[in-house]
Amino acid sequence: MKLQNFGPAELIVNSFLYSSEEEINEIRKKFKVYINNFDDGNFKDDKDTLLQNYNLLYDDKTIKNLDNYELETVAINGLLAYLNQTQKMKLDHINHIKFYNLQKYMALDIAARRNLELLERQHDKGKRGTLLWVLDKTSTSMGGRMIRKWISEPLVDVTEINNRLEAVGELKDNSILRGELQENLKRVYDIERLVGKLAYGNSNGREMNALKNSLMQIPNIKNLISTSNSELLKQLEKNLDACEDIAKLIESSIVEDPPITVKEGGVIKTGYNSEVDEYRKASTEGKTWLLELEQREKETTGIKNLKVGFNKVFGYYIEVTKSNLSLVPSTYIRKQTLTNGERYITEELNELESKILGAEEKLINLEYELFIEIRNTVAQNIKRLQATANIVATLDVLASLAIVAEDMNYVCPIVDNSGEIDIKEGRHPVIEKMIDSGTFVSNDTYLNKEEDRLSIITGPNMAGKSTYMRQVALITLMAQIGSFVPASYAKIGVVDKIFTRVGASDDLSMGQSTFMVEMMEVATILKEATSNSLIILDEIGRGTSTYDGLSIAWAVVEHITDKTKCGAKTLFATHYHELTELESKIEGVKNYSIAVKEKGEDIIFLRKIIPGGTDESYGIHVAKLAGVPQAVVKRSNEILRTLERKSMLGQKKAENKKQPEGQLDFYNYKLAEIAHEIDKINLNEITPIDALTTLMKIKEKMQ
Amino acid sequence: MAEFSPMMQQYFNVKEQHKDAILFFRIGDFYEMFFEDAKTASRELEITLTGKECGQEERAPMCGIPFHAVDNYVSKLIEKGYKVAICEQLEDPKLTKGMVKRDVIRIVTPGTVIESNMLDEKKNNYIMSVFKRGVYFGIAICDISTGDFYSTKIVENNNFATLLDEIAKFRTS
Repeated sequence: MKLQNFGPAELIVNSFLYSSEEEINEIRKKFKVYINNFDDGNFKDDKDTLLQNYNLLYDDKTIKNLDNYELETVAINGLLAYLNQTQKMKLDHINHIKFYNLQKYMALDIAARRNLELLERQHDKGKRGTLLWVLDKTSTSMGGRMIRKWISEPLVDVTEINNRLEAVGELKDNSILRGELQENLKRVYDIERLVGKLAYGNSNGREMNALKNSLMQIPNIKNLISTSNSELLKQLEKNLDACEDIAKLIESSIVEDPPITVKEGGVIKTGYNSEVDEYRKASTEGKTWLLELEQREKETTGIKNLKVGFNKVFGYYIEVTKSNLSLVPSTYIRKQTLTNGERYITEELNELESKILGAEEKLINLEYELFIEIRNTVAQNIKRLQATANIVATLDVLASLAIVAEDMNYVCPIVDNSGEIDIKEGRHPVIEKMIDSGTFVSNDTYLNKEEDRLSIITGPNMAGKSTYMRQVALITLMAQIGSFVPASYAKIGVVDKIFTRVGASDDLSMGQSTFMVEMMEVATILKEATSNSLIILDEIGRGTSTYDGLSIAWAVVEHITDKTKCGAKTLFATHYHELTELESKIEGVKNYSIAVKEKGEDIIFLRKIIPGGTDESYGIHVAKLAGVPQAVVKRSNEILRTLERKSMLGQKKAENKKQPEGQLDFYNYKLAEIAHEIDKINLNEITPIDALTTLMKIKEKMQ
Repeated sequence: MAEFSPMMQQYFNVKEQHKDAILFFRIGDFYEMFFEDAKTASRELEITLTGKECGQEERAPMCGIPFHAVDNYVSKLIEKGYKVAICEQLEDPKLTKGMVKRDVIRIVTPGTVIESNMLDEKKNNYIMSVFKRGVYFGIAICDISTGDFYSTKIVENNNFATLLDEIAKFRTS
């Protein structure tokens, strides 16, 4: 029973947000999340308490002054208040708060995260077939969680990315180091969550041992990376605290196989505490002790027939016969007189008695007390344990990326701020793993901020356009995570955001039309993309009539390529081969197409991207491939030829190159007028609703 | 109208403070739920709905679960989107005369789960607070099973879209 469909599992919001109905509904619609309208009094702007009680970090710097973090402070206080009210205890493991800046990470919107299938598949929410599935070879749960975080938050800082790449490279090249590191990591348990339990006071003996066994791997791990050259590995090694004192404490105090409960004894190791040892001895070796005492007393007093006995009224006693009473030492205390002798107790015997009789109960209580004491001592070191856990997780992720790089024959990308994306023989990381090895057709990519900003990719459906474009986005993203990439060469100028408008959308089930969703996504892209962004557009405008769609696609290309408005690097797949004309009209646009081999009437898709446009859509070929009856296919071909002879499309081919710039002439006059209207629309300002209304007007004109 | 029994009065006092949660009220070896909570819990957990004398003519709707199985039932309710308030006996009944003191010791919510049977070991379980002021947002995120705690603000353009992106980033799945 896991909480996989929640996420974040729960939201705490102030009343202002809660009463912003449109926003709250949007959140509810997009995420299956429990929303709390939390009393505004909890969102305090108290900075002092935060500064006193928490280690506040901004990247590597400690924050000394919260004046510039007012919004954060209020949100943190709100969350801490909620945790306080629900957990009703001090949470020692929550001790440092990391502030981050949104600009530190590549921005990925919901559509991009979903389309690129980073952590889950769109249709079945599974892990198989995702980027995570390819990259996750982690050995620990901590590493497993961290690699998700890395994939969710690709970096934009070149130095930071290269630090990761350098570390991955060293681990990739040194297979012995990598193998041994992995062996050691496999024996490390989830230190982070063990520490969480420690803070809650919930850990039992087994969990303490799991912590100890994990810590015992750390010296090996530290030793393994001690000869590393990479800056990051060196730094991790330097900061890696093996917490040997904690491991030793647990090792010396807790038995190898403790019971699940901590209140029934059997937890504390013999030799750790003399009192425990004695109690334990007392309950098992009580008789031996009495014999020993008897023997000793016989020797010291010289009373040969002295004996130790027991009755229910007086407990343990020493019995001396009448004839020997003169030898009884003064330390003996008389308890009972018999006809033929006397019974005594001594201080030592008294102690022994209480030890033996109460031993079992006392043992259990003492063991529990000691266990709590040990647990508290370990809990005082929570911060150290967390720092260690974090380094172990980082090493695990780096090793995982190195393993994948080695196994999948990846190359180290050159990451810089050049603004170029230059990929040679790039492969789709997921698909190449799903199909037979060696059968994936690799492709080159070249984009920059000047002459090659936007690639228009034409070619038949099903020929691999979408795969190709996703592949470019994934390779870029992988490089910025710090992973090697599936290519023979890759130079990646970091991008600030990746946008995708690909295929169908989940929102369909929620009653929005495909076209509306598509246009909303396009609207976001046009508003948010910068000259440092990467945009993937797949068949935009497909959800409406041909002319509408073509017009929109055309206008979108014009907008994106305009350096003053956007200028983002873009891959634009389309089946409107009319758009290939833009190469000659707009600076920065380049045509590409999917290579096909014609074999008589048949065609074979080679899945190879080649320069130059195509002017055939091959739709009828696809129909044939899909098994549409021969007669229909044949008839389609006839109709197509007739249409081509008559159509405006045919005219266009003959005339367009002679037309002056700026005059949209590819259809008739009516179309040019519509295109002009679209051109007038300021996409920065238009709302999705207005866009729709405008489109409706345009459609009316068409009739 | 007859008075409610003392125990019921104690129940109401506790319930009053935790209206938005299903209250697990510890009575001996059981956690018992009453009234609406009982109806909800019996439906969601598929356990028998019965009644308990409460000093009134009609018995209070009630259902109960044995204390040792509590984790299982709590996780079922959390999974279905409820919060559960765990109310314990704070005194040993053997040493107490009259009513045992009871209070809520923890409220389990979807974002504050620490039980390993409810967590995926390779996923974080985040709880996020969002404070809106004007068009800006302050955000704090925590995984209480690990202690990870992050915070940021959104003061750029298109703030709400960015907020959605941040929520998406901290998805557990």
